[in-house]
Amino acid sequence: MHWGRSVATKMIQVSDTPGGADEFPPPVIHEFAPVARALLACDARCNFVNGDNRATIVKLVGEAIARVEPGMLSLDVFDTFLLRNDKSEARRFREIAQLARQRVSSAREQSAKSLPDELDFLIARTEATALCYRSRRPLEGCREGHIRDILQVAASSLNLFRGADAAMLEAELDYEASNLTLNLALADVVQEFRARGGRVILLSDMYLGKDEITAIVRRIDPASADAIDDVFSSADHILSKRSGRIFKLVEQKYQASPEEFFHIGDAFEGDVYQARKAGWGALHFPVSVSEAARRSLDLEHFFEQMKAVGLDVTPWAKV
Amino acid sequence: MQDLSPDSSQGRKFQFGRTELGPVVADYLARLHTHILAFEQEHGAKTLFVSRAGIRIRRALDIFLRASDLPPLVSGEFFWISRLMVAKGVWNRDRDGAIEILSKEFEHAPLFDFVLAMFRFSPRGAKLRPTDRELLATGQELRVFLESQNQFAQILRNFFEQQSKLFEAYVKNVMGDARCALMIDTGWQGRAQTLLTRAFPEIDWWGAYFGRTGSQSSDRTNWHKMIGIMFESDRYDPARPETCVVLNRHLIENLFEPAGRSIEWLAEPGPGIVVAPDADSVLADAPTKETDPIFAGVLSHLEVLQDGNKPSLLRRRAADAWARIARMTVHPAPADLALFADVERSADFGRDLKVPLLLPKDLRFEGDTPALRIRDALWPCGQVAVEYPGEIATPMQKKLAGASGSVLRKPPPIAVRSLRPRVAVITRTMDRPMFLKRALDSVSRQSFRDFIHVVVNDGGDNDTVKAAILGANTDHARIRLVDAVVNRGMEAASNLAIRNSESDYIVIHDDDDTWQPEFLEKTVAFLDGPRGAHYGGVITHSTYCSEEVTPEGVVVRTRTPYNDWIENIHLMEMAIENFFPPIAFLFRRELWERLDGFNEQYPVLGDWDFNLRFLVEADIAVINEPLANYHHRDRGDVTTFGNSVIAGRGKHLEYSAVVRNNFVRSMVKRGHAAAATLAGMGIYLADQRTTVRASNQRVAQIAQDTSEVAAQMRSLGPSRAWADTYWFALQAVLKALAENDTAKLEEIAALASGTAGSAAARVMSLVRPPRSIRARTPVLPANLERASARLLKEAVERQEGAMRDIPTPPDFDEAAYLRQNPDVDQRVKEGALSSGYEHYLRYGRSEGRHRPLR
Repeated sequence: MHWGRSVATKMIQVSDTPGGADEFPPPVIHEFAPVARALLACDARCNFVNGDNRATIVKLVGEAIARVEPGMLSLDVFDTFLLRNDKSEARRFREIAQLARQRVSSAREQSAKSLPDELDFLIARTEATALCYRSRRPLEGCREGHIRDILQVAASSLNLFRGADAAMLEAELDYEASNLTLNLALADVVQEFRARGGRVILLSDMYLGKDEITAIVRRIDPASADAIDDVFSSADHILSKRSGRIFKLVEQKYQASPEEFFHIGDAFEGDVYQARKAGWGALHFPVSVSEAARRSLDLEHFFEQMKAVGLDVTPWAKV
Repeated sequence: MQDLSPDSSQGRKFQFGRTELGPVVADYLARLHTHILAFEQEHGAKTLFVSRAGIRIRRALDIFLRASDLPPLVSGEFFWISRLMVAKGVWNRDRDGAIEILSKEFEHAPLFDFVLAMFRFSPRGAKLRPTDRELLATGQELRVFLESQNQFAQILRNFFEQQSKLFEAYVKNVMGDARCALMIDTGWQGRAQTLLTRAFPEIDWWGAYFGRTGSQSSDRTNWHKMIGIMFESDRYDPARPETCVVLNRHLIENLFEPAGRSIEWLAEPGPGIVVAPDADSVLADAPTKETDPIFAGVLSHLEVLQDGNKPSLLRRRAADAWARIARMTVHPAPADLALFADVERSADFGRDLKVPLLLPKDLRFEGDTPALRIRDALWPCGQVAVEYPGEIATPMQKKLAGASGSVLRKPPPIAVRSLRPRVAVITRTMDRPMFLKRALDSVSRQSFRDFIHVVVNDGGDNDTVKAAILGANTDHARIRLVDAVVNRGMEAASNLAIRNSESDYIVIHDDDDTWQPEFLEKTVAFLDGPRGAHYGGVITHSTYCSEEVTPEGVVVRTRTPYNDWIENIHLMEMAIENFFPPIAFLFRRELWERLDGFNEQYPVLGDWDFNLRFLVEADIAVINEPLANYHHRDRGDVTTFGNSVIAGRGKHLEYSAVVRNNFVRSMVKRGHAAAATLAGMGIYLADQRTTVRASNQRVAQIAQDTSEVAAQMRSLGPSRAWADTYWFALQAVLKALAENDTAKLEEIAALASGTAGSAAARVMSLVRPPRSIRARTPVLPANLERASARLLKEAVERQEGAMRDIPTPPDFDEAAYLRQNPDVDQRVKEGALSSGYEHYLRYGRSEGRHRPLR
């Protein structure tokens, strides 16, 4: 027998006398990241962190932060500091379009009949989003759109009156405020952190800019808005967490070193992996498996509803 | 007087324009309008309707806006260019770019044609009488020609410089203060935009095209700034019917192409005033129901817009129309063909040539076939319908469209997640934290996220393993550490980890191996999909990573394909030896349960045993992509960190017999005599294979030794075309030397001038005639390229008999060439040609036939 390279076998360590299972002591199981595991397993984070488990979460998150002893606490906004419900992103866009149409109609006291319908608003917004993301000048390889540009283009393409985009923006902010829930556990963490002299910022990869995010937080909970020192959004800076480029920008703004920051967020890539890579402490605050499943189901229903009215939304509709 | 009744040919075209293309164009114009507004509002862009298609697009847009009660477009200008005009226009700023595009367009045409084409509509062209023999070369030699002192080259250079100067002034006038341009045109690869981007970097050039589509050779550097409004795709996708335009771009190009000349030159009637003299001929375009019924039909649809202009309505109407247009593009009925029967497309780029969209069924040349006409047709699916009846045409059209076997796209797959992860990734480790960290990173970087990573510490220091996990930048919530407390052996460790997890699929990721980020995504998608339903597991191809442990860490020295011959998995093949690594193998948990897990009795080769037993129960599919990396420390100190293959050969030898014999016995016990025989025979097959491999290696070595000349030949020329030219020249020189034909050698030498160059020296080094002959050998051509080309050209022109004797170069695959060209094969068999290579030299090169390599 000849041994050639084509033989695919190797091992960790050759043991001379592998024995039977009965001779061995029982194995010991270790698990990690208790907060993230609990969140993944819960039914809905909104109930989980704002209900009976609030104090436990505050304690565990506090311990994770204390291990690093940072001077700055950074929080992702959507699905972290503000918790979303079970609607898919595509559904939210549809409902925002509906509300935007109502607001545009009220703003001019214009008969709703003469306005494009809500599907037109939806199409105009999604097309404007794609166009604005694509045409905005990239920065260090990052691309991002801004809601104000998006709504301006959408309003123009629908031939709406001057200022209609402002009414559409109000609809966007109101919708978000009424569909988001403050994460009470993290709000407690923020207050505790500030009480110890730390500063708190919000850091978001989103088409909403600092002004819009601040407005949404204020509409939901003015006290939390007051507790935030600053807001950074990829919509304003183009640089993003997902690319890992925005962390340096924040450090420069505060003239602080990476070790002074601790970030919490739901997206593993942008909020955890890239944050750690940048030298920040990080805690994963993931969406639960059940919530993600319900959003997926909602998106499936959305596809069916749109198909029924003859529209193919597969190129843009997401969970 | 033309018959314009609905049943007449013109009437049907009008109707097609109104009911089919009309809704599509309306949707396109609505979207185009959004793009124009966005670029003007957000970027202060100048909108440029690019001649010639832009002229009709603008006309259609104006009608659409009027019918929609939208404000008219006050901005936007016509941009009087063509690709040829831009090539001339960028001459002073980007000469390489200009020559590149000109060479490509005239690659197979004589320079004679090129010179005339450059002056097609310019009054200066009428005075030119290019008869010089230098102009017999083809466009492949364009750069050399344009840099030469030839009188026509000098005239052209002066002309290009003058046109480029005017073009620069023209661009400046058109753009004014704007720094961003949005070019509106039909499509498809934005070549003019690419040239302009290179030559005028101070302007941010964007393109809004009807569609964007490219080929493998497309320059995609600025692709992101070329917006295909209706589609961006290189191929037809039945789920996106609008991509059918890829199969017949002329459907749209012809629609928007106005009458009038292509813009190929600029003039300066007064100081600072630059005009395109041929613009008036384009502006005079006045399509009517009689002259262009399809476009007239489209305009008729736009003028009324019966359903209104709401985006959702436009979108739905367009979707309905696209479905019908896609059907007729892929499977046209005779009535559909009739709509385009008289369409001719202009070759443009300075040439007057017109090419019909559909070729008549007549022979174009001796040996012409339907297959060749379909290959050459501008609308291949349409040509199939011309050539064949429906029952034969349909499958051919499907294949040409790339739609065979494809299914309508469903919405993106939605993973409805349960608490049970889809995949359990099992990593066995023991006291190797630096490898473990790499493995943790490999798993963590997977694009597929629904997994649990079970790390089993097989008797090593558990704190070390824990520290490695905690220190890794990974998704810790997905990691479970199983401390086996004592060393149980490799297979027992795997079983222990699997028992301590839940999942649908399992994969063993050894602590020293790695994956490409798409490994889980692609393997899980395969087993989840309809094809995967027939399989118990799937492997991907692997890359063998030869690495070394150094004080700086683990360093991968080389990466080579590992057993990349694997196309499918035969039980017979597995009976010979294990030939894929565990890192490449994702399998169903159900199989692991049915097989009672890995055999814990084996210290080595447990995976081979598992694979053998697995294949008795189920098949294993192969994904032909190297997504798994199989790492081996086969360099430096192999004792401490060596793989078992490297460091434990003795045990492998011992257990190869044990595993095989146990397998045979178990098969006999279960009454599987055939499987038992198969496995037993494997040892002999392995020996035979080794012997054959050794022989093959020796043969390969001989082939390598004898291919040196071919390799040197290849190194001579900058391209394959030059290699053939050199080959021909070399044969001529060799023949002359062998025959001591000094006259011929002198003739060759006379073809070139200047001093001896390195290329000539390389030919000399190949030839190396005896000293006695060499003393009388004239100086070899200094300008080797020119002399070689001339030799070949003249031989072709004179129909020289010498061409019959030309030997086939070592890298030319004669058999493949004859197989690919049945017409040539026939001529060779008839004796009209001595070989396929003779045909290739004489005709094949200029006809653009494929040159198969051996």
